[in-house]
Amino acid sequence: MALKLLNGLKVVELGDSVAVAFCGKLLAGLGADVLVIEAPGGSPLRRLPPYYQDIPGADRSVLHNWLCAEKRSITLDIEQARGHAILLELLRGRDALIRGSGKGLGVADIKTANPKLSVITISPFGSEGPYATYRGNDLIHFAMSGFSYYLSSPVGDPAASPPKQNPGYQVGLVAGLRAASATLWAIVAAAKKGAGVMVDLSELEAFTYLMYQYTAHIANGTLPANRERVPGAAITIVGGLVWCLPCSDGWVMVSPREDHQFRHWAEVIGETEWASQPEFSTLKLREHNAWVIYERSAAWTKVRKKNFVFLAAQEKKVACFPVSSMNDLPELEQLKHRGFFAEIDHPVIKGLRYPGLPAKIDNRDTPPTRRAPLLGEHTLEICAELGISSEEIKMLWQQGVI
Amino acid sequence: MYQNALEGVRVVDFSWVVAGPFCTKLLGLMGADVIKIETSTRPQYLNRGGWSFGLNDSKKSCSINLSTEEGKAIVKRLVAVSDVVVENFSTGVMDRLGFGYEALKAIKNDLIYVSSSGVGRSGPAKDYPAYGSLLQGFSGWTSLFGEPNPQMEAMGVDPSWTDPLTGSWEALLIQAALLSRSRSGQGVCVDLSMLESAIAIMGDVFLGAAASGKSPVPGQSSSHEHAVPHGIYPCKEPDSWIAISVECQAGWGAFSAVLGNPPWCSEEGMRTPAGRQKNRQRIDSLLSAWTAQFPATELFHRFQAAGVAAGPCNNFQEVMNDPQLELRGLFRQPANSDAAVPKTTGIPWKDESDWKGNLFQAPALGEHNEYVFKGILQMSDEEYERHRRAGVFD
Repeated sequence: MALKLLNGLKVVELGDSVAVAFCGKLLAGLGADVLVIEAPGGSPLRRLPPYYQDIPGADRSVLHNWLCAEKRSITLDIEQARGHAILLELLRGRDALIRGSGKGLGVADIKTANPKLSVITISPFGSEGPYATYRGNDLIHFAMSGFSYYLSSPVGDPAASPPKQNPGYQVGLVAGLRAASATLWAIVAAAKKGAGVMVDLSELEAFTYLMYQYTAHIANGTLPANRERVPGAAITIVGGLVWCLPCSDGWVMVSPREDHQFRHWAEVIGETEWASQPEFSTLKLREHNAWVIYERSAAWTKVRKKNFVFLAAQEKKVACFPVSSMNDLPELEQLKHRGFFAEIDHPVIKGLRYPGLPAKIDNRDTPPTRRAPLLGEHTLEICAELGISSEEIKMLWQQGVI
Repeated sequence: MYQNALEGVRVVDFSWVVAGPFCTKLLGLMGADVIKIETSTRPQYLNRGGWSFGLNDSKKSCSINLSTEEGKAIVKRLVAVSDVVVENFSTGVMDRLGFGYEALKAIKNDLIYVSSSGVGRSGPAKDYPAYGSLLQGFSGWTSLFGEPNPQMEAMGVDPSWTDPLTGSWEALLIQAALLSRSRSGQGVCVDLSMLESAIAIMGDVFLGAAASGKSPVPGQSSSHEHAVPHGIYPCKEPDSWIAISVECQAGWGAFSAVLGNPPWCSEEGMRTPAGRQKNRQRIDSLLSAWTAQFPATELFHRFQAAGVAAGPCNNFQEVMNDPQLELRGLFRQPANSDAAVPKTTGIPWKDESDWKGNLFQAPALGEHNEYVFKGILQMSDEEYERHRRAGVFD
């Protein structure tokens, strides 16, 4: 049995966006052979922060080591005729090409080189339409999808609380996840069609797709008119009542939404008489009296540590978790047990642990992850696979093609 | 139709609420025959309101009372002729029903079995009840947007993030498992964690904190340190805002031209990226005063026409009216629906045709009982009636 799900799949990656790289990363992580084509100076991703020890420099981009782990890389000047020809040779026998927009390869060239190749083109807005030439990045897409607006909701004074900016490359990462799905769809569809399938993926569309609640709000006529908070209103998230409670060393979120859960929560905090009080007897009434519940719950939690509250609630089967910061995550016992974070061996970046795939497959331990390729690391190996002679390799090197 | 790539793949779908249904909707859009296992004996399955119509389209529904032995036996008959089982119950529920991986694998040797749960099916917290909303806090997602507070004001708890992300990962893993099975002939068991699904999409931010020892500033973008200005600025109408990001030297000239080349744009300290980094706050405040005179839509097109990345902070009505998304056909009515049925979403990509997924209306509870029981399982009319009368299909 193959060690990984996508062993045997062959993919070429051509493009410098986080979305393209994350798509390739996921396919590589699942076992595909992913070949990255970089310009001779290297992909701009190699220069992106965060850097190891917060110091920029060659092979210090932690982001690059994460995004390009498990891939192979060739440097190739595709502007030169021979470089372009080598690129077309690389497409032969491959299943898919993942690329950014505006990368110099015509569809006709691709179809001639490999009519069975599927091509996934990822661009900020999509390659056609009124915004086809518009510039986008994570900040812009986060805003246009509605995320920025609703993340800063509800608020007492909208004018004083601008919509939220995204922390990093979440739009690119979600688009890459979606593109990996589109790639596997295209590969199966191409087999049925007998020819490659051309996918056009818009980062804005891929990200907006997450907003299922709001499609429903529009359909049901329940879209809030604005971001303003209704004073005293309880918070329900995805249909369930949630409280955020202070502890002596942080916060927890707790959601004893159903009758039995509420009864158990009352036991946890020693308010056993709540169960029999009419003002808390139904979900609607608890929503109405959410602030009374908050105050009495908070009186109990604020003198206790968040982990104590978390475990005490969970012992009674009440859904409750601490609110974490990024720095808390490596310490979470659950993640340690699952081996979710793992080191990647690297000549420069040492001692850093990276998030892995979010699933255990066949309950196996995840094998160690191969670090991102150094610049041009696999150029010779890949040229040899193409049958390029060592004489020509020397020449290509001198001409700056590879 | 080649676009229905998953045609011929049958999915037995036990999932409910959001994460699982988000996944099986994607599979349905790709042509899989998704059969929801529901029951009128649990109230949540009767509730077709809320967001159900938009998460359960492109699937079929059958109703089976799983507290009956006959009901359980029928599920096993269905699994035997299916390819994928998807579930997101609390840990232990499927085992108690006799539907654990090993039990179902014994019926269907090359089964793809996908379990999604709050924190995974192994580890010290595996039995803890969890909700996507709480995992948004536990995963660190809310810490990127706001400080915890009793009223959860502007804390980043909404929109729902963990659930649809988990569903997206789940669809990818099922597609990969199907490809793997087509090569190896072997089934796959996937144990997907919602907590991990969320963190994996914050990898860059997590690594930034780990590598630098600095925590991200809530609500501030940390990924574009080199871009100035880079932020959200007020516009003319109440609570309307625009995001603007100027990433390079040429962009600064274009940006300045859109503003009408005000003197401050050409001051000594503004000429280089390093100078503008130092003047970030001053630029933000001058820019805010300027943007506040104009509607967001006008600024969006003016900046973009000049090659400067900009975009309005849309509310969802504006998102649904967006001409680009309109052209891409993201929001659309199911094929079999009448005009009164609201828009849901198609597949979030396009191919050369204008295909947007095998989209059809969400089913009523048990709408496809005859299709499943008489069609797929080839029950005789007599057997079907006997079970129906005995409440097996409740």
